[in-house]
Amino acid sequence: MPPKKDHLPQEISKQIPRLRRYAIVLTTIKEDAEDLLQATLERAIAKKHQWQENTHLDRWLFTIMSSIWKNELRSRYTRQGNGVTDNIQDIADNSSTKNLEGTFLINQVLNEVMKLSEDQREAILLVYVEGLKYQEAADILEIPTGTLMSRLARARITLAKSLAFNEESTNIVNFNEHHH
Amino acid sequence: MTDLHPQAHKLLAYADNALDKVERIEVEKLLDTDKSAVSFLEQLTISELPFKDAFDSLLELDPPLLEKTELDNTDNSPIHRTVQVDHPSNQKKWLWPTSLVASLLLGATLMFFSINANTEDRDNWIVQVADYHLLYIRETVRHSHSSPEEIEKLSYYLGEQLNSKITIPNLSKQNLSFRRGQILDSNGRKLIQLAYLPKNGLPVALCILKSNANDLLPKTGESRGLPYVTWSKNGLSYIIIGAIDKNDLNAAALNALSQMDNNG
Repeated sequence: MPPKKDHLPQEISKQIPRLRRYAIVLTTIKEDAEDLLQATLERAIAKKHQWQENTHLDRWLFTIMSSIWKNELRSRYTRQGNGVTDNIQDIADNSSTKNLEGTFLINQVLNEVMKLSEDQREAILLVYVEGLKYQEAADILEIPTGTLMSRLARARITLAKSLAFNEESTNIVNFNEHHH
Repeated sequence: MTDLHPQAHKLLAYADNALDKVERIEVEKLLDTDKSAVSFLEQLTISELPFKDAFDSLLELDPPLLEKTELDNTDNSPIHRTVQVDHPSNQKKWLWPTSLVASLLLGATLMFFSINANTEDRDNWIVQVADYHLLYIRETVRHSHSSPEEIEKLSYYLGEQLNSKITIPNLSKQNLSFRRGQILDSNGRKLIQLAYLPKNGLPVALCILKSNANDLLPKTGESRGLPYVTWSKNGLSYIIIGAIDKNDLNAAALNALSQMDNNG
């Protein structure tokens, strides 16, 4: 049952784990993710009068987070020099993310998805993890459905190739080990 | 960029089982005649991965906030991991720094006398402060830490924001260490939030809002299950709020008032 406005802060709090996950997918850096999460929560509280009862609170929150992150990226671009980390290797090299490192590395799927571009990562999250329909995810990201599907398709092809490559690499290692 | 098959969207929807019967038959006809479509679909099939299971591991990173609204006496993580104050030069854009103003002329001994009933406006902003505060756990602010010089700079910055002299009270006597200042929104008005962290448990916030309220002596209350002390003076409304012992909260309010008086 969709939440009522009176209970909005409590209902927002219940969404925090999912929002944190989305923030990690967007930022790839734990501390940035926490900042983004906090900014999203604060924006939601500040704008709670804009939320309409009987609508999906989670999608409203995802939209807010997506919007804040896009603005942040624009801001970083303007400031220059603060590149956006898209690569998992950058995360591994960042000491501030050591808490996450183990989590990422023990899960190959997560690891491979986090290597994708930000656009593709969030498309994967919204559709295949959050279970949104193409149209619903596209609405959150404010992009055409076709664009979302292209991102998903590209992500899936990249993952397929990546998994195939990793499999080949594993076979090579095994072969070498076998002969030593 | 990866080249996509001309019918990529249909094939993706087919792989995701997002097509109706008629559309599926159309795609299957395509697959009967187009080898590249078959190859593309194979790639999509290879990447049918347990995304949800993988990402659900990220849900475990931190406990949900609602489970931590009561006093938390456990703290296994280092508080002083980073040293940073949230002022404009080093803060992320989405976390606008802020500060405290204060020059209250109220005597400390008047602390817990209430002489006026709350106005609706006053209640509204207190509820909003409580709503914000419910979202914070220890982890939210524990990585922030400020040197005295940084606190002074922050005070200046925040003072500019409110056009007032701002004092960030030192509440170390109540074992509350200042962590950061922020400017939040309260119905279109700037709401200054100063966050403090006790040795254990959840954060405490001292918030300031410009208002037209008459001067009000300190009054205790509770909003969203959080105890608070609020007062107004010289066009500024104040509230200190947090899930700590009420006596400790009152003492912190008293201390804050005293310092604001001295610096006002």
